[in-house]
Amino acid sequence: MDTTQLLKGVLDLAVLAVVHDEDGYGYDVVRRLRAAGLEDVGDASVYGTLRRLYAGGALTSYVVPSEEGPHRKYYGINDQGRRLLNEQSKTWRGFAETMQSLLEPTGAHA
Amino acid sequence: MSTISTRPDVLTYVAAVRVHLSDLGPEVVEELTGGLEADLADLAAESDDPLPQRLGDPQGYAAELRTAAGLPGRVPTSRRAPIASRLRSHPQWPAVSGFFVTLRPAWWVARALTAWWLLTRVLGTFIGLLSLVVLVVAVVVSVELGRGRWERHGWLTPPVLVGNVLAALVLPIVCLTAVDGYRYVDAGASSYVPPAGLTSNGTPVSNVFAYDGNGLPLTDVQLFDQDGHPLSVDPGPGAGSTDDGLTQLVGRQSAYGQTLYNVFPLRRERQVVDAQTGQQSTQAPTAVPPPLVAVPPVATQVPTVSGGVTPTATATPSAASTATTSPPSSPSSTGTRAR
Repeated sequence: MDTTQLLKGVLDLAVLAVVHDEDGYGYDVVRRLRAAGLEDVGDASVYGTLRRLYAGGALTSYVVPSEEGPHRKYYGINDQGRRLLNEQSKTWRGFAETMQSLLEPTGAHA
Repeated sequence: MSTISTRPDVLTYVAAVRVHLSDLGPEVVEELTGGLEADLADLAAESDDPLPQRLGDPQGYAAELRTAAGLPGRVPTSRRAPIASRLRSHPQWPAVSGFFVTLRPAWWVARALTAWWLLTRVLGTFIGLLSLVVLVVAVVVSVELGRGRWERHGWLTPPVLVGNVLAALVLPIVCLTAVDGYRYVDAGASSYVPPAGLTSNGTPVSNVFAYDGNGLPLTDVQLFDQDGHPLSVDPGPGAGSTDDGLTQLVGRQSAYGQTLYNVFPLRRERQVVDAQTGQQSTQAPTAVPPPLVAVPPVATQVPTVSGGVTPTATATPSAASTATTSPPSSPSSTGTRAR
């Protein structure tokens, strides 16, 4: 099954979770998502998601200048982001349980 | 990871991504791609693989970015050849393509002209107004096609494509023909031969009448130009002939036996037909009466010496009056003023 399709639905949640652990800049978030096992995640998808969550008020953003190169744009979670993370986590768990129960009988038949 | 050097390939890639987002406006583009250089520099530092190989082409990257950001996609574009895609990703592409997009209307007219030219070649030259009508129709059709007014008629695409290729091939020939046409015109213009002899505003001068300072006619005036060459009228046949064809202006004989046509006024000789014998004979040359018996005298002024320059060119009234010759009706008289 193509996991990229699944990822699209849960990318917000995944990104919120990663940023909730620690502030991060774009590629840093990508790396942490991949390290967590979401290897198919696309760079641009993550950056776009970060921008959208920021525009939606769920993230804060700040720029860290670099002496050696271009500045980095860090993202951190705020209260609204945490609420969103809680809601989406609940939704995900419910959804995952439903899927689990749906799949278990099939697995028993096999 | 700690060292970020902005590599040129990163800058190029990000610039290309921005180009593909340019329809969103500068603020949104900055919002979407702010810090992207740093992110991609990190990525690039991890491996030697070229960026497009790892991230896909900038166009696709930009599309993914805007989709993930919840922004509307760009107007869907058909899949293009990799070379076209790479060209489009080039930072200079918008400037270059903008130049040619601006030129598109010129191309619409040019291909219409080409079609019209081809039609006249195949069907023979249209007559006057019809030719103009065909040209106007061709231009209108071409421009409407170019504006995409008939885009919903999909079946038009192949013939338009073929027509464009044909027009592009034939257009140089049309241009060359046009240039040749101009060359012929040029050749015609340069082969223009001005009338021989003295002219005034392009019209041949057949005789010259000189008047002195007092406004009285002079005879036997020899004219020369600034280089000392005689200012002669054209002694060609018919010069100065009158309606009856029997009168002809004749030159004067110089002391050395040459015929001079720069001694004015020229005299005329008349062919006389004897009414009884029918024989022709030539009368001795007679003077031509001047068109004006007299002209207003030149304003006489007392020569004043100013700044040490003596106005030698100004004839004094007394000198002018002595130059006055006998009346023009007597051809035998010879003025000495001009000699």
